[in-house]
Amino acid sequence: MTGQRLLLEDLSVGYRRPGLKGSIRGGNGSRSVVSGIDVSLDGGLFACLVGENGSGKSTLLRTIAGMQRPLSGRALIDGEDVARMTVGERSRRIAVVLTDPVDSGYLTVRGLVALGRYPYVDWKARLSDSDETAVTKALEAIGIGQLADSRVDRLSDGERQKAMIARALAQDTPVILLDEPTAFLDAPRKIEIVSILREVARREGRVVLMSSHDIELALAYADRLWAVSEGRLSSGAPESLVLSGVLASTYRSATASFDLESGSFLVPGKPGRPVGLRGEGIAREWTARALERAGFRVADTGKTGTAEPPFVEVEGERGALSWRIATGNGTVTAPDIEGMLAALGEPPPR
Amino acid sequence: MNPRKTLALGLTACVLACLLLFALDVAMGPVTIPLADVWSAITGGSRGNESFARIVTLFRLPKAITALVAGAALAVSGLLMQTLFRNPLAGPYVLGLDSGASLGVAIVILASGSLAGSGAGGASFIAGAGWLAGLGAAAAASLGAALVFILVLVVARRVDSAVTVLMLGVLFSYGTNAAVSILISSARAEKIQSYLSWTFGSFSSTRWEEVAVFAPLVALGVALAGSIVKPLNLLLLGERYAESSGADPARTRSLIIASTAILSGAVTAFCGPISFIGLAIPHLARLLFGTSDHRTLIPACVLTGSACALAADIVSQLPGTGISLPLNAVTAIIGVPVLIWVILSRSRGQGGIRL
Repeated sequence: MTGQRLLLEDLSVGYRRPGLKGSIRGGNGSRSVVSGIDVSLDGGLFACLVGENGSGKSTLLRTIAGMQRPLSGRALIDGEDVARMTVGERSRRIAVVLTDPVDSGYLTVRGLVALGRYPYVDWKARLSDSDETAVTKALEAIGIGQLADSRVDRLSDGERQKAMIARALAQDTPVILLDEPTAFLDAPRKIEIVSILREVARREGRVVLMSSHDIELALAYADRLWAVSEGRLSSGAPESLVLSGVLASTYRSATASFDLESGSFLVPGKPGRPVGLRGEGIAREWTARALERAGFRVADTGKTGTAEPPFVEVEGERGALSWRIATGNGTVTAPDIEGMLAALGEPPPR
Repeated sequence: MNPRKTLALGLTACVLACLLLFALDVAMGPVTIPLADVWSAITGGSRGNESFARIVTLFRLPKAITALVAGAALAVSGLLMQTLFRNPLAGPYVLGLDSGASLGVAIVILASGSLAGSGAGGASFIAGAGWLAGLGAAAAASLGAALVFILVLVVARRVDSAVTVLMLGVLFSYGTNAAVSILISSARAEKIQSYLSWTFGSFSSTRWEEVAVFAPLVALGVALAGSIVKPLNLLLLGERYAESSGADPARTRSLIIASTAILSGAVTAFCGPISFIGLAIPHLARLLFGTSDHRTLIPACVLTGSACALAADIVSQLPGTGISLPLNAVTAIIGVPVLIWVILSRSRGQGGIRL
């Protein structure tokens, strides 16, 4: 099923209790965290919710999941208001993967994923054949079929997160919400998880919405980006948000800024001492990185161009590289990056 | 071997252990009764020794049934509390029910001197001899436990997290223990002695009349626990995951607390505040059966809890002597080393104790 599955209508999320120190105060003592959200997601889309710490990502996810009441407006799944659903109805429409630590005792992976079928089983908690099939299917979709009989507490972080995602998948809901599912995972694991999520959304026509701090990952994989900043949510294709400058303003902080060209964060410093760089391919790329890290500003002089000293030229093939450094005091050759940086002299102060 | 067969085998072994211990509990005591006489007394056969038959039917059988039922009740209520609070140190009494019961009993036993003069009805109720006094303690304990239960339930429906309920239960305990201390400090020595012996716990103070109330109450509590295996299993992942999978948090919490209150309240009322079994048996059951699934754990707790309580009762009677030890001392003295051994041997290299 495709078409619009998740719709947020003039939704405001936040907390009703007064007395919290807040920036924007609504009526009757409530504190709005994000307001005026009008956005929808079609089935088959994988969306990432990004924003700085404390911007309200988790509050928004909890509200969509029905664990928290909206301050105003509605969250609709397939046309039904989440806030009006019973706990049981919600469990058949929204599956979640939370940041809560899971102390799973003696549960096996299969037992954990089977909990995802509980919205469909009777009070005796006995899984039917079709429930068992759904569990097996979820395990295989996530690629952890071989772990089915392992105990959850003996899995690695990445495997455990996959098991939690398989549990959400087995719940067979049109919407899956994930709060920071890639936190604490290494880079290859993050990419693996995100690819799985995108695949789940596409293949089964579900809406998968995950919050993440990893903007580079979100830019590379999300079909839609929801960016929360200063109490507002902007949505669109990731590239549109980059081009419209929304992302740059979402992440406007003192220590790191979003770099439009590379789509990543840079730590801004004073403009460094210029240094010319000549070379090709990967060797040139990593030499430039080393120079930038050391505080130089790399001026590209192409492969053959001439430049005033100081400049660095990368010579030789990969595996037998050397660096020729021309400075005001003459020319030296260094066998490695460390030697090259030393020959350029003390790194300039940041 | 397939898991279902292993499970069936394990449960069968537990049933056999319970039957054996039950027979031994009936046979052993100040006077050792041959098993043949036990059998004929139970079946109403005529060949047995008359006085043995009387001992068996009047004292030993109600005592053994009480131990069987109380062990099951404590183990299941301990399991419920450990699951609700996701805390391996939780037991049947974390809600403070035993403290409420203790206060009730303390008022009846310790303050009865002053009450005796205040009202004729109250005085005869409290000062009555024999099993009337026992029923007085049971009634007072039930009343105290019920009051705490109502308080806890009201709180549990209003707060967001189970941990808050746990904290309040601990605070109730401090409050009621303080009141008990005040009563003790101003009571006469023999009354303190009689209150203390209630706190030691005992399976021997129930007659058939009480068993007829106690056993159905516990059956009700266990049935209630059995009816919520689904939310109990979901709670393994925490309250928020449980809610997202369809377990209404307030309803689940209320049902768990109600079941625990019936089970541990009944035990405290009829046997006194029996410690240790409720804390230890759920861990033992998880380790023995290697599962966190409540569909297995509830029957496993019933059986291991019963077996453990029967064993403790046998030892506390010091078979062949006329002496009996405080039940609570026995449960801990046998139970602690056994549990330490089980925990160390079974959880080595497996990440320690689990819920």
